[in-house]
Amino acid sequence: MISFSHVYKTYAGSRGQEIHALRDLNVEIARGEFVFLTGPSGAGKTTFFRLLSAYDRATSGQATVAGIRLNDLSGNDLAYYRRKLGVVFQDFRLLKHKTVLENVTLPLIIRGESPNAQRERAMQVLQDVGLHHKANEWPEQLSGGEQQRVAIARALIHRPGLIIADEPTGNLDPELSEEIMDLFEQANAQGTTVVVATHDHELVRRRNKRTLRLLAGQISDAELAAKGGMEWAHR
Amino acid sequence: MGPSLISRLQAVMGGDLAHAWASARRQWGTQLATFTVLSATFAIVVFASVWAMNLQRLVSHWGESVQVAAYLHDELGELDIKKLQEELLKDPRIQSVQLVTKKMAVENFRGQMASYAPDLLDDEQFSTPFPASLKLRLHDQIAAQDRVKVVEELAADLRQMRGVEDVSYGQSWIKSYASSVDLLVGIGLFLGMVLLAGSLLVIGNAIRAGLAARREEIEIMELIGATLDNLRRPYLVEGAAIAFAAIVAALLVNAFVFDGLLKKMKAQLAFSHIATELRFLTTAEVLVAVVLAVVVGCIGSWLAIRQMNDGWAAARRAGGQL
Ligand SMILES: Nc1ncnc2c1ncn2[C@@H]1O[C@H](COP(=O)(O)OP(=O)(O)O)[C@@H](O)[C@H]1O
Ligand SMILES: [Mg+2]
Repeated sequence: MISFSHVYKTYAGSRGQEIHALRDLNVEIARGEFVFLTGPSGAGKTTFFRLLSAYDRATSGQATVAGIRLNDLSGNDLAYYRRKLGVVFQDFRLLKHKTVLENVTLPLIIRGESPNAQRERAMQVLQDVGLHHKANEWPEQLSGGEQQRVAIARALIHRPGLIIADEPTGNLDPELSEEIMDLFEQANAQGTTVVVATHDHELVRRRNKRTLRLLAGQISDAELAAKGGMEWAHR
Repeated sequence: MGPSLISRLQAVMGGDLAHAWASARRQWGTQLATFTVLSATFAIVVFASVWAMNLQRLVSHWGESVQVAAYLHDELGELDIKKLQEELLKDPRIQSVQLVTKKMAVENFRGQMASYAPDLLDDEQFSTPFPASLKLRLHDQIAAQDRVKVVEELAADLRQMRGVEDVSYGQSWIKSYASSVDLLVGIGLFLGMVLLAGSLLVIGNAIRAGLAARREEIEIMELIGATLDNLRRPYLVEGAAIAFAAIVAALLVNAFVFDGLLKKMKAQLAFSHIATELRFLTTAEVLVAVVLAVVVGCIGSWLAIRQMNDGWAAARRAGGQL
């Protein structure tokens, strides 16, 4: 489903030098997989997700999802591709001037679904992330962990085919983290492909899923082998 | 089908109107300024239109009384005159034909002169050189703006006719009347255009300010899959809503002012008969004004959002390369 081939993402540094956030990245992820993405801060996890979610375009190389060449997307195709995804941004990206409920409902509003259906589904996902009692509060009134859960609810509400979550449990205590992972696994059980970036090695170890380790913009084979992911390393 | 369509509309419009309202609250300074300037602009345009229409109606009312007099040859017999009269009545431009015989002309003259030169009337020898004439009234169906041209054409035609000596229709008066109405309408149109162009800018600026203030919000919407139309529509609705509020205010102010002026005019003898001829806008005209204002609102915001985002604004702002 996801196929990255010789992908580079190069930023211009402050002194004009080139920063290769991703360098010659090759990744294959099949439909219905659940994959963890680990790696130290600055390794390129967020950059990888940016390309995957068509937030930004690769500098070179080929990135395709479900046969769609992400670099070629534009106009409405771009919007429709993004609608198929559920993205949990590392910085949440909630709308300050909308309530929790409105934020969560946004993906459905964009699709023009009926208000009743919207509300029902929104309350359900809010319940799933344990925030139904905060539906009418403003994001700024919530703690970091709560905001994160709002972002997660917004990524789940439209039952996307691909969930991309950038350190979605970074602000959550272990118990809540487990609950959120359960939600992702439930979605995965229904056929959704899930890619989760995390620092939390405990979490990764307990779930026993395929794990990709990014290091300086590349997949580190050694780590994959160590995690028992040998079968993936050379696909 | 029905209910789902309505609820869809509700989902779409309700959200957009809520958006417009939310932005009104968030940027009430800008919005208030926009609303005020726009209301004032619309009020001026409405005022000019109302009074231009009334003036045109008044003038055309006076224009209706314009008569064409065809003076007849002396040797024309009664039968000839009758024939000519019938022939003229067949002309679609003519409403009525009235014969003023020589005798009547003299009597008219005497009546008018009596107070000035009573001695003259006693003079039995006094015979008038007044010829008989046919007084023609233009057909009621002829529109006010066409009357002048029709009168001139008719006069030219009459001159060609056998038995007609001369034609008079207050040439100079009618010319100045026509050109003054033309000038007024011209000035009004020009003023209206300038003010409407200004309105577009004012609305556009308000929307642009809103766009800048909501740049982050727009980017987020984009990232979760809003199409360009999704993003634009609330701003179109917002522009339309501001314009709608402004035209309603402008109409209310004008109705008040009109009412006040009318009362003042009625109280003064000199204007009281004019006052009865004046009227404010009809319901249809009010509707036209509202629709025009909303269209102006939509166009104004359209100009502002025309080159909105291409979907990669968030990436560009984050320093990404395309
Ligand atoms: N917009 C940007 N401009 C310049 N450098 C960037 C930008 N975004 C990321 N980088 C750099 O790219 C590298 C990878 O960053 P990132 O993908 O955020 O890593 P991670 O999410 O794994 O912590 C880092 O060195 C970072 O400084
Ligand atoms: Mg990151």
